[in-house]
Amino acid sequence: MNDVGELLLVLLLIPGAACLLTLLTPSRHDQVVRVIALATGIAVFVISIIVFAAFDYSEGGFQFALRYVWIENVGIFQENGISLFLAIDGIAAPLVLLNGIVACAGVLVSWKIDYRNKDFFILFWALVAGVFGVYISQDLFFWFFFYELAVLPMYLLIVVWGSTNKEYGAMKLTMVLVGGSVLIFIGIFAVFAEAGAGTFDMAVLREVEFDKSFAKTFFPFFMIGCGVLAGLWPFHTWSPDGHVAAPTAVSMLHAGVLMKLGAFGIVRLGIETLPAGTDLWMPVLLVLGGIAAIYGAFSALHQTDLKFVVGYSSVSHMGFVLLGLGTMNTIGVNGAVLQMFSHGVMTALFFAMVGAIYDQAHTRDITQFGGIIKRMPLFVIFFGIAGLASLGLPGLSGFVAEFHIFVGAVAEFPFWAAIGVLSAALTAVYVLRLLGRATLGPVNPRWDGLRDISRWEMAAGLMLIAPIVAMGVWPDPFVDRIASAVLELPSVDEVGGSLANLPVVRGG
Amino acid sequence: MFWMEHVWILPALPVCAFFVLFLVGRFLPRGGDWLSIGAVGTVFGLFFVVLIEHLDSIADGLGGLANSGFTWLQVGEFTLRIGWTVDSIAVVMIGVIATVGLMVVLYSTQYMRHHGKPEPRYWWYFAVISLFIGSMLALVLADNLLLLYVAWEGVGVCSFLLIGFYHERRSAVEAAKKAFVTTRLGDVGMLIGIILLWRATGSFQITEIIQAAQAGRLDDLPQVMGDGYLTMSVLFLFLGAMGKSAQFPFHVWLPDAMEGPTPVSALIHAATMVVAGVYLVARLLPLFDVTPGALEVVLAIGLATALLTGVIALAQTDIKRVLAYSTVSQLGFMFVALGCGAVGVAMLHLMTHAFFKATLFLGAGSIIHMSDEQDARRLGGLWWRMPVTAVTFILSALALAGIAPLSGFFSKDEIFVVVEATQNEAILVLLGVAAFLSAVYMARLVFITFFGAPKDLEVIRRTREAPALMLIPLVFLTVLTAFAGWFAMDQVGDWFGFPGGINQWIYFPEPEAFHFNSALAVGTGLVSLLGISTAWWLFYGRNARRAQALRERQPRLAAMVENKFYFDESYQWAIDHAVLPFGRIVARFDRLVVNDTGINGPANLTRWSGEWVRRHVTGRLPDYALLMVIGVAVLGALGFLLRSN
Repeated sequence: MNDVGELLLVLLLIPGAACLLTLLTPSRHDQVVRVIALATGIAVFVISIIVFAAFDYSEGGFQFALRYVWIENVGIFQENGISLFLAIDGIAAPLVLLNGIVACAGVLVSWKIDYRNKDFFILFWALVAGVFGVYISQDLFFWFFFYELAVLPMYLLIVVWGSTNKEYGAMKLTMVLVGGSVLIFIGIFAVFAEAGAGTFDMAVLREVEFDKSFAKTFFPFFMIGCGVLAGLWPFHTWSPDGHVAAPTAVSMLHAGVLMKLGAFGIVRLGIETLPAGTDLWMPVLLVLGGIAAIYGAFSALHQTDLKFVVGYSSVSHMGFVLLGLGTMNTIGVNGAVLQMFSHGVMTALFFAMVGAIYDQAHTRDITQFGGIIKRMPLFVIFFGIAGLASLGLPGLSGFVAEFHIFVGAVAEFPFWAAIGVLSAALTAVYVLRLLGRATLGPVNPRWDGLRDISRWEMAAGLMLIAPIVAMGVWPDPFVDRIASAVLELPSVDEVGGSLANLPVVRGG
Repeated sequence: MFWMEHVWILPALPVCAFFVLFLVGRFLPRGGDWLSIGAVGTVFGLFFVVLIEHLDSIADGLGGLANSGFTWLQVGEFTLRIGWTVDSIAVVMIGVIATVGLMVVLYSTQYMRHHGKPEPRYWWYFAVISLFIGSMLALVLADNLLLLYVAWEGVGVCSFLLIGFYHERRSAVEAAKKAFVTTRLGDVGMLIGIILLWRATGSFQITEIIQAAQAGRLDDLPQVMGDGYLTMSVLFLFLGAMGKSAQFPFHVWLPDAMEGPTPVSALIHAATMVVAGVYLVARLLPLFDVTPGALEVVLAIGLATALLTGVIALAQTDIKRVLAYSTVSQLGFMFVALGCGAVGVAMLHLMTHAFFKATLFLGAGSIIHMSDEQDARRLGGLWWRMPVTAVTFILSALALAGIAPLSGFFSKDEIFVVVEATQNEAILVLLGVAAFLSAVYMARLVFITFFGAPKDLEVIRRTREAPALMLIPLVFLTVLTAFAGWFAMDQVGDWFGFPGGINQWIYFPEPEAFHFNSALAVGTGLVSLLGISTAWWLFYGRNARRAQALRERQPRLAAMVENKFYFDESYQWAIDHAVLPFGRIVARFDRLVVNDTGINGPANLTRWSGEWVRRHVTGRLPDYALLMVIGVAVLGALGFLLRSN
């Protein structure tokens, strides 16, 4: 195993420190705030790359473990009762990287925020720290703490810096997500009490053999509670409205990283802790995911607001994630995690670009635009790459992920696999409609004043395009890491669904 | 054997040219077109090297095959590879792509400039053309279906970008979108087919799938998966081929694709990308062979397309659209050959068609470039203004019509031979009708553009012969058009060092010698002549009044044909009245039911109940006193009632 020292703790401390440092900076020094943010963004980005690269997939399992005990051997708590226990496995590794990339890109596109930028970055870094915390915590107590830390700053970020019906969007988002949190909270304490081990340590809880009926009863608490954050149909409407209301960087983090927390929670809390519940509930998740995939695609077809199109496309793509998880075989779950990463960078790129044009044009109505490519060629190229990745073009990340999901689903759920493929085709329709309407066609003289994206936005765009292309062309580094963890997940079948292993077909 | 084993270099060269052009193309002198020419020219040279190695390998008894590749990713037992195969089919395809590609790139250096000044985005044009050639080469060299699919989508994107090259025009953008979405629908089927086949065979490798099919390992599949599984997966795969090759009912995108620059139409929408479907079926023919019903479907689709688009082509007036419908119709011929199980024949027609149709398109391009007019109703009498273009165009048109000894005669005749040998007379007759139609529409196009009185003197006055750099590719391709067909004969093949004619060279089950059926040859020759004479009688010069009279006598039929049997309209109707409304319904449902009721409902309920309660918590003493009195009274009454029981 590679040794990275206490890098996981550093990963938490850096955004935490940035949060404090920004707090202490007088608000009139807005340039200082930006410099702190940029330095933190780069640091987080670099460390997340190191963590990702250092993860040893040939060894698998949880690595870089660090433990700081908070309470133990008191009252109901036994050894390691509550501890800040950090470690990552192959599923968390790419997601940590994702958060590093999106956070840094988010700083770059937030460069031009000048209204209360100090407060913005305080909340921003709290959110980023929370997301990192969820990915690397191995203790249910802290897991939940970080989960809430990631969700709650969203309310203020949207209400203060947002646009378009922001009070409604922010309130709905918070209420729905807190509703999910309540379910998770109940589930966590039920698990804690039932296990009777007197600890929130996930490593211990994973070993506990829960009663089958207990697992079946409490699995949905995690599945729906976390699923809400992953845009689980029909609890998804907070997401398009929230995206539309949120400022650019928050939309990026929100769709790019935060929604993944939900899917990640289903793996960590659901599949790993209560494997006995998967038989009953994962097919339900698969069906809901399939519905979300096609439903989001059809809804996106009808939207005229750029952010609504992207928002519904997020619902559709997160549907793919849930569909992949629901297959409960190695290829499908692998695809689901790949899709989490892929959708994260791709949708962040989408929102970065939408923000870039909205700042200038003050509208997001695609029917108002036309021939934008004349004024903003780079914008169109970046937007186009995001669009092509989203419609599953081979050579970009989306295809690799979706292909795994389809292959994983085809054996047991051919109908839902077909629904998934069909939604991918519909994606082509709405993405091309968007590109054709807004960016191509006759030049609309109203937009003669537009200037192409700024250097900051370009840097953010390139940062996000690089992983899209890397994963599309050379997915091995991702797949190796993810597979090392997925192969060890309880009750996930090793069979990918090929008949090649059946004697009839194997033949000579 | 070096080049056969390192064949990845061929697609890599133009792709590298693309990246360089994409990044710095606009700063390079001449927009970097020389880079594109250099890359494609090198591929053209390497083609001969690969060809020689391939023939040597056959002579040495090694079968002319080479595989190379590496593992791309692995999840447990599940492995994906990237690999390349060189065999006779791939070699034919490389030859066609490299030859037509080089000619088109050279031609474009002139076509894409006006009065010596390059068009806007000149560099972008060459960048995408290079990427296209690279992807197309990757497509034909891929040794597994997944890599093939990757390249398949790659050429689709290049086609999208090039059709939409003039993106200021709304029609070009719409055409690009239509092409991409229509072919994408087929591709969805193809992806499903690939996954279903993987499920059946456990492999994406083309050779492994073919081996499984040939060794009879798929015969037991019905017991495991139920009847029709194999047919279903193969037909799903065929959907992709139908989409890419614009076969009925996907044929609507190709004529609209003519919005792109004409050299693009020559390369992508005549010679290379649209034959990818033919290539796919040819490559997987052993699989289609063991699949019940698959070849019959291929044949039926091909025949239906050939007839349908042959009729539509009769009534088009835009010269590029006539050529586009003719392309679709000729692709139908190739599918007919494949439906009879004759790979070599289909590949021969693919090759000859690539040459003569590329010539025709480049000829049309030279007319359009020099006269700024592509409506045949305003052309006419052009032959003496542009004699070289006229001669090359007419020769290629004759080849397409199937006049001996031009190449089209041989390839079409071969198709008739295999159809006669394997199918019944009805199919032979229908194919004869399709061949007759192709002679008619080609002759009509030649008559109304090059002969007769000029319809617009202004057009004729400004038209000159095209510059030399445009004529050289035309002449070169015309030479190939004239002689490529001889390659069908074993003696000619032997003389060039091939193991016999094309049927000997490209075979799967057993080599088939070239049979020349003289009765059929005379028959098809007569059909072609009859077609040309009919066109002369109906359309040449003043004879056009006969066509006019015919049209007036059958106005409804004429309107049907002129409107392409209303396919575009009905598809548009279906989109407007089914798909989009469904999207609207889903979006409304999402707003009204899911959001406003499901999410806002509980929220509103909370608010309303809060407000209702608040109205009763007034803080006024009399209200509370009243409530207390009511409460005491009710409780007292209850107690009294309960006790009395």
